Amino acid sequence: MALYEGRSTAYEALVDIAKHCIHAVYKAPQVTARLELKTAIITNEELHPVMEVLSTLAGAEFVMEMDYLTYKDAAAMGQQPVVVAIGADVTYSELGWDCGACGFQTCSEFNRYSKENKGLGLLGTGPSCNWKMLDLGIACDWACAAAWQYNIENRVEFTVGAVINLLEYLDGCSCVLALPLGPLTDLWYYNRPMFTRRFNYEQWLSQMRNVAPVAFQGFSGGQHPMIKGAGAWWQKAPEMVKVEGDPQMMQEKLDLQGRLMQQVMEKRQVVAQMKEKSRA
Amino acid sequence: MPSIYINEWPPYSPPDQARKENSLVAARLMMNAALTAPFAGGIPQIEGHILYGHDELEQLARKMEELAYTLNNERTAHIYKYEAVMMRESDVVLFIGNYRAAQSPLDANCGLCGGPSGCGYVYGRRTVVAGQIDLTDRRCDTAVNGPLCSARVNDLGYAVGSALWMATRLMVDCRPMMTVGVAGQKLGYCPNSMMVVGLPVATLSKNPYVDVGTQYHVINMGQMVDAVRKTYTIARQFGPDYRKTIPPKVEEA
Repeated sequence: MALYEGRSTAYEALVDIAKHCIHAVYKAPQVTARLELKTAIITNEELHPVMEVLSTLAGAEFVMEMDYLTYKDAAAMGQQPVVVAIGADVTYSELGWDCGACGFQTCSEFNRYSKENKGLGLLGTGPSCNWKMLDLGIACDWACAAAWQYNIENRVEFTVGAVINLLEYLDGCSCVLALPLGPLTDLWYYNRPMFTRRFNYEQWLSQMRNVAPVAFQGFSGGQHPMIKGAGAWWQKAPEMVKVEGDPQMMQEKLDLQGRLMQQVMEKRQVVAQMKEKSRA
Repeated sequence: MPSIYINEWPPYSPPDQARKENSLVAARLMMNAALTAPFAGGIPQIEGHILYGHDELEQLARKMEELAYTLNNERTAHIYKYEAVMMRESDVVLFIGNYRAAQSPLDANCGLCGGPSGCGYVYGRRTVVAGQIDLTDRRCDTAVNGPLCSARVNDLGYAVGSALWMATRLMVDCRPMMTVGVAGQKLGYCPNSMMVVGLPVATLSKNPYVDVGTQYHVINMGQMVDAVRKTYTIARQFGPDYRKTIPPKVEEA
């Protein structure tokens, strides 16, 4: 009987937990009984292409930065998450239910539209058959619940799943969700320890003013209400609410999309080689 | 402490009612599990309705049978009829709906609902006033009033998944059903949701939602029991006066 260091030994077992999560994915009840689910477990250097694309997105999107840092900081302490990828193609319906949830009267109308208009939004692909999308959600939820049952810190993520989908880790999926398992700790993806000391009080308030301006809004009778700030705003020149376009931000987003797609094309080749190697 | 006798037969007898009350507790816990499911941004968007009692379940079953004919879809007609039978065998039905899927999309331009057109896929197909979707016109000639925000629908899946997970942990039988959800929505359950999933719950010795034979709407336990009542009553017509004689065996005759 050997002596094992607990945390690192348990970390190695995360792949086994990932397999249990995938058991749950395929056992999850479905409404349609027809959703073909695809799954993968991504570990170690096989996750690096995802991290690199995430780091590009992190520079422009705060939500991406939040998710990227959870992975980066976990890797830095030797506990890079083991990622369960769960996906399916929900852009086609062979159900024939003609239920109207997609906005078309019949499944065949939806399929015709989908064939001609299928494509990428910000990070997701549509249009979607909503009953299949629901089944994908049920399956992902069961994977989360399986991880939770084993007391593994986890959080299902659209953001990281979208990157995994862009890099084509799973074949033929329109939507992929990522479920990172670990690090072995409580509250890594909630309470986010990497953010605890990231901002000072003024920065937090500034963020809140951007995302919830109505909470800071002054008397609106003048049609252009003042917006309050941190500290003694009454001693400063008043700031007013004004809605206008932001061409600089839009240009930055366009530039990001260009850089992102170039990086995705490069990394897809790396991922394709990984898949080839895993099949051999 | 009074004793509580439980027996699933005959249906709706006091011993069966005691069993059904336990299933109602399970459905309540399933709903709480649904509310704690992971949603995009943790945004509240789920409502639930619990349907319990003979008359209520019968009304649901009849609505499903009505939809089998009025929706004019041969792919779903038998599913509505078969699953209506299952409602009559269920103890309780939990409806879970997403009240934001039709009215307030995630607005992340994610593309799940319509691909490159982003949220415009939903907004462009709805009545939009002052930047808001106007859902006061609830007329709908399909099963579901679409289109919907697919990110919200995905979140509805998480809610349903957590309810189902709780059901398995409590060892009550349950399946997620489109037909039940559509009928419940049209009856007014989950009143703010355009997409509703029905989760019937049962705790019988035989799971009523699996191993279903063809033409189940006319050949099922209820019909079989009724057939026994019908044919055996006819057989009784030939009975002698039991007070005067016991029919002799062959060797005695």
